[in-house]
Amino acid sequence: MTLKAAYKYQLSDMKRPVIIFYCVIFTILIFLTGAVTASASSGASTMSYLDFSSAIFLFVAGLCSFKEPFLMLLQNGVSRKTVFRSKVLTTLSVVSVMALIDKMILLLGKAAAGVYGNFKYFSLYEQAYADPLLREAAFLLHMKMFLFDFLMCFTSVWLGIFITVLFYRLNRVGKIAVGAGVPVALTFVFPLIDSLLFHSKISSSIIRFLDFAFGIASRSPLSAMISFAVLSAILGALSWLLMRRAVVRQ
Amino acid sequence: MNGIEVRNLSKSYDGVKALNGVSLRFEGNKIYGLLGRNGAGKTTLLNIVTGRIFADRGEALVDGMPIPENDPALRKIYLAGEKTLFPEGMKVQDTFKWSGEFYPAFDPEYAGNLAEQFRLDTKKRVKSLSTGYDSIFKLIIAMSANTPYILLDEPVLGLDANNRDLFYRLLIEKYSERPCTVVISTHLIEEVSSVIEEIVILKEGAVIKNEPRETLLSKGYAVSGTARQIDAYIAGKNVIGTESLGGLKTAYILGGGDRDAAGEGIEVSKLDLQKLFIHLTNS
Repeated sequence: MTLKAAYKYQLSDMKRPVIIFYCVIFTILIFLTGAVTASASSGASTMSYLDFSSAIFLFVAGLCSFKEPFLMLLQNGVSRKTVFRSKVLTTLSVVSVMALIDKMILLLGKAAAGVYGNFKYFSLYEQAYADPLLREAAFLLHMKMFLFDFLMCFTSVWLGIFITVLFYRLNRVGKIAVGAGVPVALTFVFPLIDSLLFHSKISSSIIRFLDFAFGIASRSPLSAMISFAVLSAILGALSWLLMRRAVVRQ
Repeated sequence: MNGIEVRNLSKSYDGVKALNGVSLRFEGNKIYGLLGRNGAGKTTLLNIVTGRIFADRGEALVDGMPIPENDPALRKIYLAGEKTLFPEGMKVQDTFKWSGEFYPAFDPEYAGNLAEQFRLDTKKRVKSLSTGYDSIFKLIIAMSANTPYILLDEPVLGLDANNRDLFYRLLIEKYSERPCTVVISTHLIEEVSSVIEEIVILKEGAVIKNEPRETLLSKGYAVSGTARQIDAYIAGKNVIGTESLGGLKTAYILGGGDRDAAGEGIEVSKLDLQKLFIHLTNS
């Protein structure tokens, strides 16, 4: 009963931002489609990465989705375990629906592109893993695209949740240290040390690892999907470890 | 066994002990006054009991069930705390709606009725409520949740005299219609004195008194009369406080003594809870 109420609350908390997001997306798409089809240009324009904009939105939504619902649920006698479980169910539901909407928008975009002919409509999946999909059956291809979109968005929302729970748990000094320290370390200290002491071998290794993990050079969407699944599981587990001892600050 | 029970509860903040081995029981269907000076550990105790914070040591149970991370146990208790945990942008009427989702016995009609009596505009957002109305809003939900245990931390914070009076009346009314355990943590001791049956006094994170109000107040008495009469009477007695107004004087005395032999012109009455509290927590 508590899980159902907590799930219902968290779902309702995310409903409005998702609706606003798609209103903006639809407005942009209608405007761009209208502008492109009305233009006299003979060259084909390209519209792409809608799925990626969903992932970015979900990252931001994840960032904003901890403190308020957490306190509200604690006020209403919900345990942290149930807060976490309802969060998992909510993100699964929201990401599934968004991945489905993205898929439908993609299909509509492709249909419109077929009618007008002067623009093309691609997903991130098609752009990144184009070669293998040309030889695949349409249903299987769309299933893979859906799964890829789902896993990418799921990882994205949990990355946001992990960061916000981490910041909630940190004290003021910790917040400043992580908030300022991590970006400075990643953008300035690490490249400097890597180039001066290791002749950029570390960054080359990281790039090679990321390339392997996300199957970019090999154009293997399966590698990316497995990496997203593992990453989201790790982020979820870390978020739980932080969440289980989170308290109401006095 | 019915009731909220805490055993050997300890909690420190940055090395400062807020609770130090507290053990006590809030029994079923009684109204408790949880009293203590600032920093005595009242809010910490209530927050641990409702799982908002964790104890360093000890355990908390409700009706025999461990409270931390236990949904069925947590659902039995409602805490209207000092801090508002509802989303600031949420409308009061929506907080009622959601409270009903989490507490199946929540009575929206009663909540609406209370809101009317307190003149709380339920269309307002939580963040726009004044300190007094923020307290009223939390009180209304606590009283409408119909949980067996209601914990009220500083319930009348910012309430004017009329609303405080209304709250005490409604609380008694509610309690007589639907008995439950109410724990009131407050600084307004005199006001709450007539409402509470049991008194728990915390001092520096430890329980120093835990007994029925009548028992506690019977441990002393007050005498009033002319200053000369009172000064003569209290000589050699354990006086915990005096008050003078013009030529009249009131003294608060601890211990049985010869209260019947107070003499003519001296009025003997019950001990004042606030005076006793000050005496107990100052020493």
